[in-house]
Amino acid sequence: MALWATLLGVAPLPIWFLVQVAIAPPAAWRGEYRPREASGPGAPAVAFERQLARYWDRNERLVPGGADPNAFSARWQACMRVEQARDVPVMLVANGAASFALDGAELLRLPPKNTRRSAGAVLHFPPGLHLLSVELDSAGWPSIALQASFDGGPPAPIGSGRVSPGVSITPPGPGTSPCSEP
Amino acid sequence: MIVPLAAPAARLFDAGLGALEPRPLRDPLDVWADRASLVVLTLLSAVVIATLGDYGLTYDEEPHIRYGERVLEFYTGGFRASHLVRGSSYGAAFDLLAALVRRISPWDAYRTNHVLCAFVAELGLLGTWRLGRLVAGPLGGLLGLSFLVLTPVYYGHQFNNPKDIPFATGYVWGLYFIARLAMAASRSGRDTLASLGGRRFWVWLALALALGMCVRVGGAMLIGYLLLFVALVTLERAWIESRSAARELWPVWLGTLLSIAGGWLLLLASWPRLLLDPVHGPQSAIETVSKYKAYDSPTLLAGRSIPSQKVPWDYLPTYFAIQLPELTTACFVLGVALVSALSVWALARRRRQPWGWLLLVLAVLLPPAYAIVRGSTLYNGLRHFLFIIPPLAVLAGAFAALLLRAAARHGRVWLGLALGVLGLFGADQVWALYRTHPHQHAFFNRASGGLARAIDRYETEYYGAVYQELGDKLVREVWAKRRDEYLSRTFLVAGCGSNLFFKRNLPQNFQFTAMRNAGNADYYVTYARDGCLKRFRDRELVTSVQRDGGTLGVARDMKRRARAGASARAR
Repeated sequence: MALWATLLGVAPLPIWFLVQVAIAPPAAWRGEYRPREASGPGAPAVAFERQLARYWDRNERLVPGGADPNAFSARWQACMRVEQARDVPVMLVANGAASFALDGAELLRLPPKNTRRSAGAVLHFPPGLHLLSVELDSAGWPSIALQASFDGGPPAPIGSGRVSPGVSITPPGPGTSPCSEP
Repeated sequence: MIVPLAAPAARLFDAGLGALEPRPLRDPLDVWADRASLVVLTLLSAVVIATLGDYGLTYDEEPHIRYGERVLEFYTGGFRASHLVRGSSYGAAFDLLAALVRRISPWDAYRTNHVLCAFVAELGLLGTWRLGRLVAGPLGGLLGLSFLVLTPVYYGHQFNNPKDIPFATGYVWGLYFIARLAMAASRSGRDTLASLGGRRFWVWLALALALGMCVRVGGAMLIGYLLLFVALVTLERAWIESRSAARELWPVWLGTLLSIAGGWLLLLASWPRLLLDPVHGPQSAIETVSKYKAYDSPTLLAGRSIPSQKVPWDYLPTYFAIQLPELTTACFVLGVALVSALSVWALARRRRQPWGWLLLVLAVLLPPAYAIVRGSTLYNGLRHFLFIIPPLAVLAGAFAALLLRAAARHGRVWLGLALGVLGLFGADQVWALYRTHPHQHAFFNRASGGLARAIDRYETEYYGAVYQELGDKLVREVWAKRRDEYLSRTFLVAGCGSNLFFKRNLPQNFQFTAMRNAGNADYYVTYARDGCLKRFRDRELVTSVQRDGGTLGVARDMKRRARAGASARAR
């Protein structure tokens, strides 16, 4: 009886948790990080970010791979598939210089100020695969979020379920998109 | 006239004492109760998983997340202790485990914490069921478990309280193994070990003691209970049987002492402060906790604001009386009265004591009595004494099981009546859990006037969990009514409590500003603590979180004056 009680009353939660770990969406955003002062050549630290939406959503401290957490610049890229043409409210919030580009065209920009600011617009997404690109140049405690409203509700971070980092971790060549059909 | 009256009374007392004896499991009610317990545990599992995300973070979590990270660094970084690790008066087992789980979790630190907290809470429910089953048979197990689950103030804490719930789990498992030992040693003598299931019992006892102490050092009281009950059982055997019968218990003493040593070693291994200084570490941790004076904020009692270091003696009894369901309290009080009377009767008749029941009485009454006598710092209502609710529920459930069995002996009508009362109680409490979800920790019973009457008079939403729901509602309101602005600007939010409540529950375009800047803020967002609901009532109400007619949190537009009468309605 005690065994049954344990199996039915306690075991399901850790099993459920482990299933969630196993089925969690793969890395969604490709991040490039470099120290803020580095202006010369040199490869940036590159990482596929599984948890980026978590930083964007919950104000967790952004920990850039290998760079000084208090002064770094970053670029995150991801590919997003849109089935039908639609208008989507998109907003960018940051406390440093930041920008958002869709398929290489910069659509939102925030000036380099130390206070948190936001910029947003309703953007048109034609059907197909789109490259999303977010850039941040941060000094001090970084704070940034790209949020969009796909369901009519308040904008929320674009998480792993909606985007993928493209086919390769190597940077795309000039004029080419890293996004392609699998 | 005395003799004829005394004889029925004696028969009644003997029958009562007999009813407290461990029972063979052949009663149809017991078979039914075991099956029902499995159903209850399964349902609880499903409900916990389904509702886990509804519970917001609490102010206790962030320091423990930080502590867990530092402790993990301590164990993986050559035992170099930070100031936080060296000085913490809290055991690190839960926080260390949480830090490890975070390494694989797909969620943020808080949600991950909630998963672990709920898991540990489920272990506590299992321990409660087993303790009830041990003391009062399967029916006692089912009713003890049910009384605990149907206590909203305990239920709500199970998801986001990283201190009191793990401690409660350790406490109830410690009590279970102590009760098993005392009950077995009282009857079996030389065969005690065999009746306990062999030497593995001592390993489990050591683990349970460590579990009881590894979050709050106050769990060391389990060692006191263990030694006290083994000593009392030994004395009982010498008194009722013979000295040689008492001497047969030496293996029990040996196992007990080894278990205590094992539990203590496990505690040292999991708590850096004690590991670094095994002699003074435990002593200073106990002193810090028992003479806790670092915190002195006002706390509410019947509408009076009192310094938490100077609460009157009735602070804890009042909170228990108004936050526990009435039937639970009634069964508990009657259970204590019954056990006390039968214990005195057994003493007078030189009969064996109902050790399991007595342990429950002691485990519930001693800690608050100690706190009252010592004048301990108290705040947040009964939160720090949540750990006595599982044994309290077991005693209440065990008493209800006695009543149910007595009713069954008197026929189906009586049994149906008793089951009907318990069924109504259960349905009413399930409804209360549903109504107050996910803020069950702020439940107040009907006799006290409910939550609506408790607001501003007692500690209701003191933990900050309401900010998750409140933040979601505010964001939806602003998005619905100020959509153009929403996309292009940030909103300043002021409010009571930790800035973490705002940073973690609002998107980044809502920026926290300190209360001294509230005049410049766009919104004032607050929970019910510290009279914060009373502030800025002249500002327009944007949204609120209400349960049982009581307001647990509000969001106000600081740029708009409330219309006449609207502010009064929002109270």
